[in-house]
Amino acid sequence: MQSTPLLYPWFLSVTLTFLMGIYALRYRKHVAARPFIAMCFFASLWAFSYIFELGGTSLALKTLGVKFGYLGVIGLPLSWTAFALAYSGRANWLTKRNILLALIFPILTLIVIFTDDYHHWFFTEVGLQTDEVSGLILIKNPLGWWFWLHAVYIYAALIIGSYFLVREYWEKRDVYRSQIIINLTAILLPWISNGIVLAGLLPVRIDITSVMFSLSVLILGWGFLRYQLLDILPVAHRAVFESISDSVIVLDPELRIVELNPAALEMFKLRPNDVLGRSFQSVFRQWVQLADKALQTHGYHREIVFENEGEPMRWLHLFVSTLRNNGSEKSEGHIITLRDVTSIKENEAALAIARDDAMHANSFKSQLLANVSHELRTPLGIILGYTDLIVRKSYGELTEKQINILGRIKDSTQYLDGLVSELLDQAQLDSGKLYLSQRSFEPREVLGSVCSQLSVLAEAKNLEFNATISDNLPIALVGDSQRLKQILVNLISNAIKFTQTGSVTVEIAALPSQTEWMMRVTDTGPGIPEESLNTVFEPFKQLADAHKSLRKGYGLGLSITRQLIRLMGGNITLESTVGKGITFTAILPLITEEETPHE
Amino acid sequence: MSNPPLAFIVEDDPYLSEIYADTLGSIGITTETFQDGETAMQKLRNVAPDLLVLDLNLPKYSGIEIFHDLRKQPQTSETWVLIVTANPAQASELSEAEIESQNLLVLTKPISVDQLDQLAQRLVFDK
Repeated sequence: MQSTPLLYPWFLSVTLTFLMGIYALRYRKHVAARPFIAMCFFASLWAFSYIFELGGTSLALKTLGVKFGYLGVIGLPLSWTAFALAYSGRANWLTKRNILLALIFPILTLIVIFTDDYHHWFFTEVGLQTDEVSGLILIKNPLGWWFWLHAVYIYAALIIGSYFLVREYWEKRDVYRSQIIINLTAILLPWISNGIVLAGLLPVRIDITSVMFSLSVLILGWGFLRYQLLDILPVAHRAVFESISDSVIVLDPELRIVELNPAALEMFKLRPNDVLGRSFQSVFRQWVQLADKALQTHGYHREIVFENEGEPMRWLHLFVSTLRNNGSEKSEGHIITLRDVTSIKENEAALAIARDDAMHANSFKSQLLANVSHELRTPLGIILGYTDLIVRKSYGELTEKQINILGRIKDSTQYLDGLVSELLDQAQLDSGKLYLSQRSFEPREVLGSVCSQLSVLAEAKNLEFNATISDNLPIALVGDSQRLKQILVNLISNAIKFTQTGSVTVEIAALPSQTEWMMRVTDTGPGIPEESLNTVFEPFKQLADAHKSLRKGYGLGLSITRQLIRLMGGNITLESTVGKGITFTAILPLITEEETPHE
Repeated sequence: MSNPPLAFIVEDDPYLSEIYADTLGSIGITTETFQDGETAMQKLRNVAPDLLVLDLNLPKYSGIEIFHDLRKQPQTSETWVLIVTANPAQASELSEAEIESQNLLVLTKPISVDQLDQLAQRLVFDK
């Protein structure tokens, strides 16, 4: 071997392209990455062989270097072409069949090269010569006719690859454009130098093509790794990036615009050449006022109002995401996404108006109900009052018949009065204005009096009436005694109303947990079919098959009862067997001490 | 008892007024009726009745204002008041202490003659 500093670039080339190939292996899943990996290794092999071609002193070693070097000389441009095809979205051309077809001629060339000693088609002769300038021993191998076939084939492949890369360049306006320029520059570099060598323009008669190719491979590799291009194939990129209706703006770490998609150009009426490379702030400040910090904050988002001259105002949702390189902390750039949310905003506004309208209507209904109920109470009071006074004979003697009729008037008026009370309760419940008091009361006294008052009604119907208030119930409870009375009156009077024979049983007791207590009313009436169990608590639901004579319910009573119980933090359930009766059980929280008001 | 007990009825509806008056009259209570808040308030500053039947929704002065004014006067600070209202929610303008005070009952319209009769008996004659 002859030692010369001229070999250093080749040592460097072998090492760097080999390492690049090893590194690129991690991306081998990508169609565009495989040809690139091949390029790295072919470049490495070529440079490695050239070390023997140049460094060797014997003809045998130099010839071996030349012959193995051709594996790289052929493999590198072909893999570059494959890479160019895959990269420009034509990976589907790289089928096994096409690759084999494309390899027929290169394989023949290799055979020709390795058997050149017999026919000298590739090199007309092989010998040694000494370079006059450097004094190095060089191989002398004038080129034969097959070489020129080979050269045409290789250049044709490179031209095809370049054609598609150039087309990609013209069709794109984005970050890939600079990438494609890198590709073309990288590939022009070795072939220009190759041309220089072939033309004999170099002072030293050595072939620098393989070093230049290595350099070009390294440039390409740097381009990938910098832009993470192998993570998104151009095809997928184009499909998403170009067609997405959201505006997307890609910034580099210095917040300069690297790329905009067509939606962004359209929205802001921009031309790529006017804005690419300029700072985001200088271009977009007129529409969007954002601090640099916000642009650099992953996940930052806000809504902005956007108005372009002569166009209606639009709402945009702006979202910032940071590009990172494989989990590294360092930001590789930022993506600003702008989504037009005008229609969503408009819908929201329309919904808000509709909701307000509905609320107004509902509140109007509640108010109307409350007013009407109040207005009804005064005349009802007058009817009831005068009826009572007449019955008392305050205004003179009456016949038995007149007293009976006045009794009916009074019953009907009281029924109306009950209905008015329930409507008012419902209106208050609907408007959220029904407030429960939290005062101490004695359940035995309050609820016991309800039972004894209503027992009269049961006796009038010849029903057995049993009421027990358990000793386990505390002497004093805290709650709204008036509303609890209302609940119990409702449950008992319903039971009496619907039961023709048998009994009505009332049990009031604390539950074993001592955190709840219950009021349970059981009757032996007709009961409710299972399918109707859920509807009895709904307003104005009466059993369809109930006899007309029995239908004296207000239709709101049970509904209000349940709403009141729930407002108290309790619940009511019922069990029923048709023909056997119903059991209503109201469970309420057991509160024994008045809560001290919280400040 | 030298003089019959006296009840004031403050109610803007003349029929209800009459019903209350007739009911109380039937058990021997003398009544005086007022149709608006102002005249009632003026009278109450000079005369302390044994019982005041008070509507809340009144012209000029509301029942609540009358009640407050009444409690400020020494001679009526402990007078029995029966508030009879169509809208019990209005009574929520009264303070907790006022509602809890012994000489006040809040009733919701309509009240029956029997109810008024029994209450008046208890409040006026049994005190």
